[in-house]
Amino acid sequence: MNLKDLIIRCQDGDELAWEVLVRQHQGRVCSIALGYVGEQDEANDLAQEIFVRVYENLHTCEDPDRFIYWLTRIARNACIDHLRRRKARPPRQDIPAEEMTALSDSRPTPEDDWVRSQRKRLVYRALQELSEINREIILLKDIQDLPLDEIATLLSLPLGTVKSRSSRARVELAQAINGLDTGPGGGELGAEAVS
Amino acid sequence: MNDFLKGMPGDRDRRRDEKFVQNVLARTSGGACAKALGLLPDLTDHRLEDLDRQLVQAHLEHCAPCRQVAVTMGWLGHLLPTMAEVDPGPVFTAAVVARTSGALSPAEKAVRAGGNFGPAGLLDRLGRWWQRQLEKPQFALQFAYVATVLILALTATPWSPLKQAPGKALGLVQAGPQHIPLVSTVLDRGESGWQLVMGRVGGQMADGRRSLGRAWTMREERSRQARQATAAHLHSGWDHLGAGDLSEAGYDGLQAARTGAAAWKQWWRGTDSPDDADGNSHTAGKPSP
Repeated sequence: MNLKDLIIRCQDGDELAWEVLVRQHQGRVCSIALGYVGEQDEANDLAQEIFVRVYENLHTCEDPDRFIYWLTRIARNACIDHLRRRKARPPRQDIPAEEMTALSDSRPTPEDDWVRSQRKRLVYRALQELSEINREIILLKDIQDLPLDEIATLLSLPLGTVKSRSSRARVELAQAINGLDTGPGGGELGAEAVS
Repeated sequence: MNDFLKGMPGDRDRRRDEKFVQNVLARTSGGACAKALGLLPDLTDHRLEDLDRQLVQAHLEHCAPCRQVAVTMGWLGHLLPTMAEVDPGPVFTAAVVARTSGALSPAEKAVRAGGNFGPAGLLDRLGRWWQRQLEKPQFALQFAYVATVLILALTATPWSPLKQAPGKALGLVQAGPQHIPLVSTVLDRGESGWQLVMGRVGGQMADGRRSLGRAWTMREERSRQARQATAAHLHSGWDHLGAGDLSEAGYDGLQAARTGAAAWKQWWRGTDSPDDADGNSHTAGKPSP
């Protein structure tokens, strides 16, 4: 189904079209939310909030061809608002990283799937260790694969800054992962890559 | 195995010289890790020139921390793009649709947004703006800052009608509640005192409204002449500007500014001075050709 037609139907109040739109983009929105908050349940709640915000503001999306960027912008703003509120009212206790729900299929998986799942966990934990701007660049460029000029517009940064930050952010992410993966029995995930 | 680690020479005998090399580097150029880490993204993306690639690989052979970063970046390059979507579970879509089904439809929203220029629309947008501001942690600080500036502007500037207010308020606080007639009445007489006070307050509010109306009329009257003179100067200046007479237009503009300032002063100060009031004395001072 054409995305443009879908959005126009949604703007006309078609519930079926809205459901399809949610199904098409929920994975992306949940991924963005998870990248910002680092915890699956919280990310799902936040993703719902994002979709409510999208629904309420859908009439402001004037160019359906740029819907992905519009959606990403709304998701980012909602995530930043959420993090601000969380910072103002911190949770009573930290959420143990080990309690993060599995990010992949819950069915029994082969070993390589297990390694991939564990690495994803590590990445989401390490993203929380990065500075805000580096985390956003990793999320938008390396994960969501947005073009650099769109990222620069979204973050209100010069294009050159985004380019230079992009390389540094990947190195910092790798260092943060190595820092997390060095506990007892740790380091195995990275070691497997060269074994 | 990561491609970029292929072709690296083995450990062999270099390990025994490692300490020597590190000592030399420490006394000369310093460690090379920062440079190597800066080139790692290009190495993993296969964008590095041959010589640089060999140099970085030579560094990685001897530097375990950098090597570990390189390995991690290698699998990150494959893993990150696969994380663009996360399965939120089977109930997510239903939950979103349930939450949005009762809300206003986008079409209705669009209609409201499109013709939303009346007072109700303004209040709606103002309410939304206020709600957004309340969600910002720094809003309380910003609000306090703006309120302080406003209070200072209203009470501490020489031309302000409220410039006496802080002194009076401080005097009342220092005198204590017994010296405030209304409070002392309530304290002394209890419930009957409260009713008496409410009656007095009602009467004083009516007096206040009348007094405010009178003050408004008086200030209107006082500044009317100056405002009319300002309008006349502006009109004349516009005519001269249209006729291309820039010097006359400039003079009229200057006079309009002076009479405008006089109108402003009269409005706030309520001065009776005819020299400030407008007008006539200033405009009569126009030099004769």
